[in-house]
Amino acid sequence: MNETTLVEAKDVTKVYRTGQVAVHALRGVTLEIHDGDFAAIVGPSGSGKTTLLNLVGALDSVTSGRLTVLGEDMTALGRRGKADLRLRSLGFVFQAYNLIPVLTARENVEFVLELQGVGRERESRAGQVLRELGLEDLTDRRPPEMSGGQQQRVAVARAVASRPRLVLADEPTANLDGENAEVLLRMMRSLNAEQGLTFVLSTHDPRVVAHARRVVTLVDGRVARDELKEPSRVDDE
Amino acid sequence: MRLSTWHVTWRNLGRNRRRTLLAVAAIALGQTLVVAVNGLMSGSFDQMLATVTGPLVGHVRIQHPEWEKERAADLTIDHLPEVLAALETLPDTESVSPRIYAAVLAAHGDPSNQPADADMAMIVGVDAPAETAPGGILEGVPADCLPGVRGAVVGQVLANRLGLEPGQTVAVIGQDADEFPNSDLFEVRAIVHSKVDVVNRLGVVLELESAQRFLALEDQAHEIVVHGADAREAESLAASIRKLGPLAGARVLPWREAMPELASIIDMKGWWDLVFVAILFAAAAAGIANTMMMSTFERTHEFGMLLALGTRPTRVVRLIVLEALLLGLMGVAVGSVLGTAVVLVTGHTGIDYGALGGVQGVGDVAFFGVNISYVVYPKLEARYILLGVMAVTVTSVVAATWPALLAARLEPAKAMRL
Amino acid sequence: MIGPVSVKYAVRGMFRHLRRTILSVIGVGIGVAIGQFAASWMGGATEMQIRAASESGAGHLRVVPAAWPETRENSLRLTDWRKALRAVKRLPGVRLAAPRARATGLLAFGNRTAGVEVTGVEPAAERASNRIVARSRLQGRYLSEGDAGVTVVGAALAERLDTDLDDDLMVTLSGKDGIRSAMLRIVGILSTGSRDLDTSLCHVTLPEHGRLTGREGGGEIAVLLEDYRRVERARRTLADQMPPGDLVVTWEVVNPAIAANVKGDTAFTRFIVFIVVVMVVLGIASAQLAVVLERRREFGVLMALGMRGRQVVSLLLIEAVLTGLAGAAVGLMIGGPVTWLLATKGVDFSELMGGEVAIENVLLDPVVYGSFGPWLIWYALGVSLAATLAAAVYPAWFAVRTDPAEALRTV
Repeated sequence: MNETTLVEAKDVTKVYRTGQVAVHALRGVTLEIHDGDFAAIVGPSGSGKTTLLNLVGALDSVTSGRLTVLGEDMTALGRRGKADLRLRSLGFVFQAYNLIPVLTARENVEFVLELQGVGRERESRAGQVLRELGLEDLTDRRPPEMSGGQQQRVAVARAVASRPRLVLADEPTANLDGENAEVLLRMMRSLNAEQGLTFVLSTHDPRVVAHARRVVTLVDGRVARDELKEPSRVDDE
Repeated sequence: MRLSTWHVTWRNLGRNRRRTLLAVAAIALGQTLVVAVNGLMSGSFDQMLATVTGPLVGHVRIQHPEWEKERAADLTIDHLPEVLAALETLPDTESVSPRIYAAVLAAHGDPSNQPADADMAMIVGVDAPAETAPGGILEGVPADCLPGVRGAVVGQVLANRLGLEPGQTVAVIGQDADEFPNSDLFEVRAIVHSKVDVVNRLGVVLELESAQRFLALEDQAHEIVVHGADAREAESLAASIRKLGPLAGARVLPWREAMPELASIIDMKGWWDLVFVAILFAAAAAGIANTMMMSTFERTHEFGMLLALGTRPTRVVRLIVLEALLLGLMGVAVGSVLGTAVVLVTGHTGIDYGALGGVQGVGDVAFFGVNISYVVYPKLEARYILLGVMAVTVTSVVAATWPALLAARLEPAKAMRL
Repeated sequence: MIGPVSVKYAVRGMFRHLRRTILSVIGVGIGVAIGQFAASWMGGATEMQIRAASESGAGHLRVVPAAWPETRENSLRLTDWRKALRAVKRLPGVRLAAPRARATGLLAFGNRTAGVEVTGVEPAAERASNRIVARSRLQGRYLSEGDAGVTVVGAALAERLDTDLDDDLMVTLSGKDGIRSAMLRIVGILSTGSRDLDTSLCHVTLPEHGRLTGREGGGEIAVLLEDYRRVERARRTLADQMPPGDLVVTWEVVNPAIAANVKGDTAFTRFIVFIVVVMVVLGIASAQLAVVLERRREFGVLMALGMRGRQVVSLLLIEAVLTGLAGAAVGLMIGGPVTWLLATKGVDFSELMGGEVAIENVLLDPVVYGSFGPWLIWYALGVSLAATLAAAVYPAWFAVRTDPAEALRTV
């Protein structure tokens, strides 16, 4: 496998049950994610975007096919291994309910660092990450005291604080207005550019697509299109 | 209520299997314990009742009106055969035991023993073959060891004191019914460890005829102990007996009147059992109510969603109450089956609560004249199952109703945010 | 296993979901209080029976001649009964001491006879320590010190002999050197309410007993203690001070029937209380579990962030301990006063029983005084922690077997 290939999926399918119904979320997805990508996974609702992200993010198990993430064969990896992978090498940003409401912004970041076993430097590292991302005003605020946009940005801070190799974001801008969405995306772009963090975002927000350098289109659980493009410029308005 | 409400409720329960299972389990546990413990109490009460109304007391006692007070040997029930025949005509009587009692002195029959070694004893004249039945004075004595014409069965403690063994003779010294001194020798056919303590300690058990002969009595007896089917029916049995012709003038006492202190003990036990059943009910109700309440409160988000979709608040409440009802019914059904099974199985094998409590049965100790055992046989009583069904179901529904009412008053958005 | 931030999360979370936490804690508290009540009642039941036995003549302890427990021979006498009595009275924690002597005999009046146990007593001590004497209806008077040639008998006995006050009875006993007889005048008739107790009751003064039997002195000393729980300790202390040839035994040895009954009752009650506690613990646990089940989404989020199943369980264990401790406190607040009331005022069954009840030579005062003491605290903690921790066990099993996404999918 190419050293720069972080994720390799081959004919991956996912079927899950809710009650009586079997949902075929993915019906054979084949793609690769490379180091440094800023990719958007698009498609209508029900196309399997979130499912794909969950699989890559080691939150769920593959039904059939081969999926290798950061060198690990996901079908062979047990729950412990997956938890480790999530902890050390992956960052996740959800659409909503990202942050733990009872903890401050800094404590939210510290939470993940603590899980990683970081000791007393937790506090300073967390503060530093927030500062680097221009969020130090929010350090001691709790999520109920923040706007949606602020929460998402702190969520990104938390996701990157553990220095992951790959950040997965599931519809991160869905609850944000134009300006907040833009600010969030710019933050991610600069992390991608300056620190080389790989981002994979699932979305049906054209603003996200605009910033992406690569667009994977899913329809009905399959890859319909996979193309590279020019991202919008970060210094654009 | 439209049919669809039931449908929705049922599917809802099926969808949330873990939650349903937990609620049903909690309710079933409550009902199981209620049924099982009631069975336990019932069995233990019955056992105590059987113990105190055992071979000595019986369900109904028939005596000469003055005999209890005076204990004079001449105060008898006469025309025994007619009386016994009349008693047998009653459908409720299960056993009829005529008895003769007289205080005597007993000594080892071997003439070389000092007369000062005579001990207080009591002649007990019985219908020996009948008394070997379960619950009788001579329970467990084999047929060839019965007193017969010239023999006696001696209580173990008395035999020990006098140094008697089977095959030896026992001398009996007393007075007959006309107050003439009398003495006689009997062959010791068996030593009995009777369930009846006074027989153990003082008993020289003779055949009724032998006792009658010793006391110069004809067809007479001092007491007739009657057992019916159920100790609790003793009063009505006594009433039926009083109506019998040959028993006119006799004193017919149901056991409660014959031994008021036993009645007190039994009543005490009744109250006692009630206290513990009440405590158990409270514990079960608390557990079920707690579970249902917590469970319902946690579903605020779900209810918010229903409200947001346009469901009317009353319908939401109805759904919840219905769910609780269904859960309650399922739970009591399972609990009743389990509880009944437990009672039936343990009713057969018995529960050795002595072992569980760390006590050994004390073999030689008697209480109320009967030896103690620490084993109880639970008994099934359908009314407790029904009681449990009602109480448990009601608890389950009421416990879900309060959160339901609160949920119905929510603003959907707020509910969903929680 | 988990660090301070996680603990902050757990604790603050409990405050955020305040209604849930309060209901939880109250639920635990109520369960604990119920369990405590049951346990306290159980102690009370035992105490009631021991009180009945000891106050009906057996005493908590009895000083007896060494051979008595084996033979139950009432002709035996203590080596030095006065010395023993002094030793008893000097012992701390002793409420009363009553010396006695017994002999089997025959009472006769006219052509009627009845077998009795003639008991020699010290009138003042007997009145104070023997409920049978103190609580019975008395016709005439009880014995006084210095009485000679008089007796107090039970009502049923008087009936059987067809006698009344001031009649003279003949008593025949097996004495020191053969059979002896004497006359006794009835000065008092006691109605205990129990035919059995009545028919064998015949009291004379201790010196009179010595004169009748030719055997001087006491054959036993019944000792009533302030606290029945100190029986064994008091026994050992007293035994050391006894002249050789005398033993100190407990009421259980004196009255094995009651002892066996108490043991049996206690075992039965313990069994029932055990079931109640099981119900309480499982009831609390299931309520806690109901909450845990609804938090699957929350756990999904935590696991998505990288928390392992074991760590989620640790979180729940912390919550469980906190809930358990708070619940125990609430349980003590609710149950404490109730148990205290039960211990001090007690529940009086005598209305329902029609007064005192006689069982096997013992007069029972049917009032239950519940147990009360520091043990309540340990009990509360034990029950509540057992329940809340048990409820945290299921998530362990669940967390190990679920993918976070599945938990997140929970609606």
